[in-house]
Formats: sequence, C-alpha cells, structure tokens
Amino acid sequence: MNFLIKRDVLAGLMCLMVSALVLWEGQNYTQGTLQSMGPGYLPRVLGLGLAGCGLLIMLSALRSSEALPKLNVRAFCLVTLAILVFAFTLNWLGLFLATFLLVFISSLSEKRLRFRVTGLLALALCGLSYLIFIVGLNMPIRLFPWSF
Amino acid sequence: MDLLSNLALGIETAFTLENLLYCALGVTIGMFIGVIPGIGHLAAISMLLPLTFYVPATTAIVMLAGIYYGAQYGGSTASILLNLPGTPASAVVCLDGYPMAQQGRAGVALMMTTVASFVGSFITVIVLAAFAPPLASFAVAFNSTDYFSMMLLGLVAAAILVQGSPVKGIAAVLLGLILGLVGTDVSTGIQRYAFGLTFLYDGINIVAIAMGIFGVAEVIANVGKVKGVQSAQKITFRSLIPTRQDVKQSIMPMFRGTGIGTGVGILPGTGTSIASFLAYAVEKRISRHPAKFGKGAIEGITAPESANNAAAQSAFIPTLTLGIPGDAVMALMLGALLIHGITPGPNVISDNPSLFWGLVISFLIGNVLLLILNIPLVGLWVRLLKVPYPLLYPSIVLFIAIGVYSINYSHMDIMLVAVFGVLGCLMLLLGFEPAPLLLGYILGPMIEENFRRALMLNQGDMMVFVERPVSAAFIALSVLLLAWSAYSMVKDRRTARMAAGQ
Amino acid sequence: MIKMTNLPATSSFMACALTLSLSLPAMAADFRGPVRIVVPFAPGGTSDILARYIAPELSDAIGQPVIVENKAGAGGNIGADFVAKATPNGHTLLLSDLTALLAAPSVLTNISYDIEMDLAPVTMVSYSPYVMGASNAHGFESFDAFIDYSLENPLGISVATSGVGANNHITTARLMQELGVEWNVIAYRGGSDATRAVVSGESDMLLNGTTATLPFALNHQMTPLAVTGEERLTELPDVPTFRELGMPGELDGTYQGILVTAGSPPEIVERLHEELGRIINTEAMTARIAEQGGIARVSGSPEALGEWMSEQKTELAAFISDAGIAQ
Repeated sequence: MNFLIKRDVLAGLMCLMVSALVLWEGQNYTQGTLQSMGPGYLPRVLGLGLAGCGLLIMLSALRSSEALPKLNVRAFCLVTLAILVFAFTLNWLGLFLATFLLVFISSLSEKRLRFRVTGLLALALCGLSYLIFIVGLNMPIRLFPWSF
Repeated sequence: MDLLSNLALGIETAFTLENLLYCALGVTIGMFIGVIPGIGHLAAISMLLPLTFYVPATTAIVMLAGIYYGAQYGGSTASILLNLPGTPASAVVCLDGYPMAQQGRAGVALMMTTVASFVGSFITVIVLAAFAPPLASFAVAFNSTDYFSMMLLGLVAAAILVQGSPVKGIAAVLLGLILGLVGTDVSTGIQRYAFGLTFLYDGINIVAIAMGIFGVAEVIANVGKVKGVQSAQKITFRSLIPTRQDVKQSIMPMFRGTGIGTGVGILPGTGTSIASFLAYAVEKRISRHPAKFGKGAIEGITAPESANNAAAQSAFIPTLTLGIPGDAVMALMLGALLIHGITPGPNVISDNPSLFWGLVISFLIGNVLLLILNIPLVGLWVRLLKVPYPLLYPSIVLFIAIGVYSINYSHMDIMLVAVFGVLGCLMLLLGFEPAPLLLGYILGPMIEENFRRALMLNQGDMMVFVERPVSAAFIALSVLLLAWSAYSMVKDRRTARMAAGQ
Repeated sequence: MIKMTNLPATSSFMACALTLSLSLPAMAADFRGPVRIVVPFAPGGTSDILARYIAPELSDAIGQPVIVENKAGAGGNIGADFVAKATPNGHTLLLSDLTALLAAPSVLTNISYDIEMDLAPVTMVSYSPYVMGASNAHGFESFDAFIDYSLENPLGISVATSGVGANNHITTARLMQELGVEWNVIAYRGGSDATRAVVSGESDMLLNGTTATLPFALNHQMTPLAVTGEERLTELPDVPTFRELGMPGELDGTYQGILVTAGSPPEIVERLHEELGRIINTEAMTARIAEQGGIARVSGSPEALGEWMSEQKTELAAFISDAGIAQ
C-alpha cells in the first residue's frame, strides 16, 4: 500500500494514463508509414514513448522513497473554481460582477475571509481593470448584466 | 553613401514631433502590456489599431511596432517577481529570475533584464538597417526540410532545460508534444484530440497553457504560505544595482542571445519563444558551472531576454522586406499598412523609403526610451513584493483571466486556464517541470508539419534532410548535442558515484 | 471613435425604454444600443480590414457606436456560431469570407449552426479575384506551358494551398478536374506561408488573392499565369482570365459578405441593407476596397444574397464530396 503513494509511482501512473488515452483516441486516425505519415503516426509514437517513460519512472520508484509534497487542497479547489466561475459568468453577468465573484471565491482560500478588505480589493480591481481594458484598450467586454 | 542618405531620411522622418510622440506612446503602452500576465500584444495592437486610422502610415506603424517590442521588455517582470510569465516567451526567465528574487536580488534581475532587452534590440536594429535585404532572401530560402531540422535541434535543447530527473524531463517534453497534437492536422485537415469541441480546432491557446501551468499552479502553491524572506527585505537603492560580477557574467550571454534571437526571428513562423528557450539552453550547455542554472544564474535571465527582444526586432525583416509575416502580430502590421493604402510586398522599401528608414530609426529611439522608462520602474515593480499575498493573488488570477480572454474573446480560453492550472499542480506534485512541456508544445506542430511536408515534396525520400546543407548542419548539431549531453550525464553520474563512495 | 463605456450603455438602455413606451411603430427600424461587427478571423486580414473601414461609417449612419470584434478560430466558424446564437435583434453582424463558411459544413465536422437557418443574409460587400502564380523555379512563361508540363509529369507539380478545405484548395481541385491534370497538393498553415513556399521555390504554384500575389508578380518573384473573374486585372493587362482560356465561370475568388442573426426584425435587416449598400457604394469606400484587391459588390436585396448562398452551398457540397476534399 505504501508503495502506491510514492511520488514516482503516481508520476509513472499519470504518464501511463495519458498514454492510454492518446493511443486509444489515436486509433481513429490513419497511421501511414514513416515515409508518408498519416495523422495517426506521431500520436502513436508519442503515446508509446510516454508509456515507456511512465514505466521507467515507476521502476525508479523502487529505489527512491520520495513521498508526495503537500498540496493546499483548499486553495487548489477554490482558485480553480474561481477561474471557472469567472469564465462562465463574464459574458452573462458582465465584468464587474464576475470580478467580485472571482475575488471572493479565490479569497476563501485564506484561513478566514476578511469581508471588508476583500470587498475593497474587488472594488479596486474593478476600477483598475475598467481603466486598463475598457478605457485604455477599448476592449469589447460586457460590463453589467444589462449591457448589450 | 547610400546607407548614410537612407539613415538621414530615416532620422528626418522619425524625429518629427508626431512620430516621436506616437513612438513614446507605443512603447509605454507596450511596456505595461508586457508586465500584465496573459494579455498579449496582439490583443492590445488590434484594439489600438483604430487609433492610427487618422495619422499617416509611418506614424501608425511606428506606434504599433512600439507596442510590440515594448511588450518584450515587460514580459520578464512578472516572471522574476512572481514566477509567472508575462508572455510565453519569458517563461524561461522564471527558471532563474524567480530564484534571484527569492535571494533578494529581484531588483538586480529586473535591471539586468532591462539592459539585456536593450542590448538585444539595439544590436538587431543595427543589423536590420545594414543587412535587411540579404537576410530576408536567406530567410525565404529556408524550406520545410530546414525548418524540420532546426526544430529538431530545438527539441534536443528542450532536454537541456530539464533540471531534475531526465526521464521525467523527457516525459514532460512528450506531454507538450501531445498537447501540440490537439486541433486540425495541417496536412490532412483532420481534427485530432479535439473531441468535437470547435474551440479546440485551432489547437490549444498557448497563453492558456503558459498561464495555467506556470501562473495558476504557482499561485495555488503559494497561497497560505507565510511569506518569509522577500517581504521582510528592505528595498534600498543599493539592492537594485547589479554588481560588477553580474555585469561581467552577462556580457557574452547577451551577445550570444542576441545572435540566436536575430537568427531565429528572421525565419517566418518561429517566434520569440523558441529564441529565448534556445538561448537559455545554449548558456546552460556551454556554462562551466551548469549546476548554478535554476538557482539564480544571471546568464539564465540575460541571454533569453536578449534573444527574445532580438527576435521581436528581426521579425520585422521578412515582414517589411518581403511582405511575408512571421506571426499574427506581423500579419496585423501588414494589415495596418493595407489600411493606409500601402500594399505590403517586396517593393515596400524601394517604394516607401521614408516608411522603412523612419521605422528603423524609430526602433532605436523607442529602445532608448524603453531603457530610460524601465530603470526607474524597477524600484516600483520590486515594491510589488511588499503587497501582502492575500491581496496580490486574487489580482493575479483576475488579470490572467481577463488577459487570456482578450486574445480571442473566448470564455473557453479562460476555462482552459483552469484546466491547465490543475495540470500544473499535478505536475508540481509529481515532479514534472513546466518549461520542457511548453517548449515541446511550441515545437511539436512545427516538427510534424514540416517533416511530413518535406517528405511529400520529395516523394518520401528521407535523404533530403541530410542533402540540403542548412538542414544537414542542424541535424549534425542535434546529434552532437545529444552525444555531448549523454556523455556529460554519464560523467556526472560517475563523479557522483565516486563522491558517494568516498 | 468606437468606445464602449457604461455610461452610453445605461443611458441608451433608458432611452430605449422611453422610445419603447412613446412611439413603437415609427421608430421600429432604429438601433438601440451599440452594434457589433463580428469578424471570425484574426485581425489584419481582408474581412477585418473591411469591417474596420465600414464600422465608423455605419456608426455615423445609425447614430450608435459600432464595435469590431475578432472572434477567430475553426476557419471562421467560431465567430459565425457566435453570431448565429446571438440575440436576434439585428445588432450583431458577421462580416466574413462567405465561401469559407459555405464550404464548412462539407469540410469540417461538428459545425454547430446552420448557415441558412441560423444566419440571415444582409449584403455582399466585395469580391476578390484569384491570381494563379507560378514559382520562377521552373521558368514557366504561360498557362499553356504550365499545363503541358503538368500533363506530362503527373504529380510533378506541387501546388500550395492555405490549408485543407480552404478556398484556394477547392479552386485547385476544380482546376485539376477541369484540366485533367494531377498535382501534388500541399497544405500550408495559412496564405502567407503558402506564398512564402512559392516565392522560395519549395512549391510550384498557388492560387491566392491579388493583395498577396500582385506585389510578387510585379516584382518578378512569381509568374502570374491566369486570373479568375470576368475581366483582366488592370495591374496585369497581359495575364488572361480563366474564362478566356476556356474554363467555366465557377473558378471564383473570395466573396466577403455581411450576415446577421436569423430571426432579426426584417425592418432592421432592411435598414442595414440600405445603409451598408450606400456606404459600400460611395466612391471613397470603393476605392479603399480596390486598394486591397477587391471589387465592391453589393447585393440587390438580402433575398438575392440568400439565393446566391444556397446555390453556392449546394454546389460546394456536391463538388467537395465528389473531389474527396473532406476527410
């Protein structure tokens, strides 16, 4: 069991998984020969190469005993969520509301949310991005839910 | 002398009040655009294009070009201070720039990259003035065979970028190559690994990858950590000044970087990223103490920075002398010329000498301006490190998101940043390095496309790659480099074993 | 100047509410709020330049800001899809190379809109003929010499295209069919890469727009062999048209046109057609279009463009599947 959570075992496993995906999907593309490659030739070579690397990395895990470094799971989830929320609300709620959402969600990564400071930060960033992107660069970004 | 009268014409054109003003405006905008992570100069230039409708063609191009090369200066600022690249080309500056900042040498790093940018640009502009037409005819004679062999050399160089485990480094390069497969296959028109998603048909946006695996992953890794060293440091004027040792160690790398950048930049389609990655790899390879790389080696920031600025300037050579744009930004420059009624093409220089020579002189003025503008800003940028991280990181994430959005006005690109942020975290956890992945991604499509095209044009004859002299030279270099790397790896391991045995 | 601030947006929102309550029928063809012209290609290309020429004029005509927005990707289909799914109020226009969009359903998979059902025609803008340019490497001096060589050497001539399924790829395939020749068709990454290949002699010939080819032809870095369109080009008076050479009229160049979201109010579409037609036909605009190798060409009515599009689409679909261009 301990063997499985070693860093290099997981790294090798990731390579093998990606390689499996590449090779699986690559079956749909004509392969051809080295002289006249089809669209499937390089994917196959790369997939096999990555699988080879994956195996080598797992093999090296036999000797190494490096454990996984710690990941700040809370920050990982919340920052990713903040970007996704921004992506899917920008065209709908407009720049300002989306900015507030992004700032508040990503700030939840901190141990405690300082509501006033975060609000002020969001407000300041709205102003700053308005000045840079809208006034300065004339970018066509929707500002409010009711803008065109 | 012909050149002298041309230069006189250029000086006359560039030193009008209007052109000076627009040049200053362009480089200032570019400088700030470069600093903001994610937002590209392409988006900025296309949005500011309408501003130039009402001024003469030369003035318009002077300003738009200023944004382009100005942005190359700022790109490394965020790389050094925050370990996130302002542009994909400055990703490689993270490798040594960020360690320098952690050692309290952020000011020195920023100062030296500014100087390196200036050296790279200035020399290349002089080369441009003196040799543009012959260089352009060399560039245009470069064919698919040569491109393939050159990119192959780049791929070998990617292996040199690896700092940790070589196998994991190769795996990272392969991952990058695989990401490069996504999208339309140029030779057959088939969509590969797009899973029916139209936003993937043109491939994954490189900025989304760079911002995800460098920027977002870095932010996540830093949140919640007590920031020790750098925020406690006092920022004194002295701490901004490079030592004599720094300057001495940087002179040759800057010249080598400039050479590489100029060479890569004149080839249409190669871009500034390859130049900076290659320059880094060369420095690391020829250095007498390669172990210092990745731990704050000054050559590791000055060489790529010179290279990327040199490449940005020399990209104007094929664009202006032949009318063949190397990338989207250069295509936009030609579009701007068209809007002003000048048809780009091989006759631009002879038909519009004041445009070409005025532009060349404006490059020189613009670079001097950038040098003057950037030095006092170094102190200001360093102060960014004083901003508490809880305030800084939401701002970083926001600017990355808006910046990526501005490239295509596509919210799917922002979503991709999140996806690559997750990948970046996984890579950080599992010990894969992002820089080789990025280089693999940049090179992959070019290698495949040119390899297949060269063989299609030559009835599948593999010998073409060694028959053409340029291509043969690159292949030979790649083989040599590979052999050398293998040799030094074995040697290192032997010395390490001997050291361990004692 | 096109500028987007929240102030006009909110005030126009209020103005819009006012006009709605006051006089609905009389103001029906008025624009409420900014109009955007979506260009589905990267900035700097033909469609983009046309949009940027037209935007300020249209803005003057309708009294609302007009914004040009580049939404590049998937050969123009991402931008087209965006307009197809926009609110059908006639305020979101698409300015694009029409042949590219009409060929898309036959060339690409997963096109998630129907150009005839989801987009409505407004007007054609311009037509740009193609120049057939040969590399100097073989020293061909005429169209006939080129064809004779091609007939004698099957696959001996490589023809550069801007990409699989691109306009000039389709035209190349048409020529091969018409002439009974067999060329080695090589796809490049875009038109300028293809041009570079022919100038350097890596490929032997390409068909491309006049702006891209003329400078090289006039500088003797490429030999112009023939041009598409009804008339010879004034810049190349000695180069024959394909029609003169006995080829059918289908060997066209590129057509730029303006479409709008389907279901937009007919009176708005009519107004757009009127204003755009007037703008494009002004002497200044015609001259600007000519500067970049095009010929201004306004449709008689939106319906006329619609008919032309559906004819083209059917014909392209038949030809593309016949010639095996799609994968």
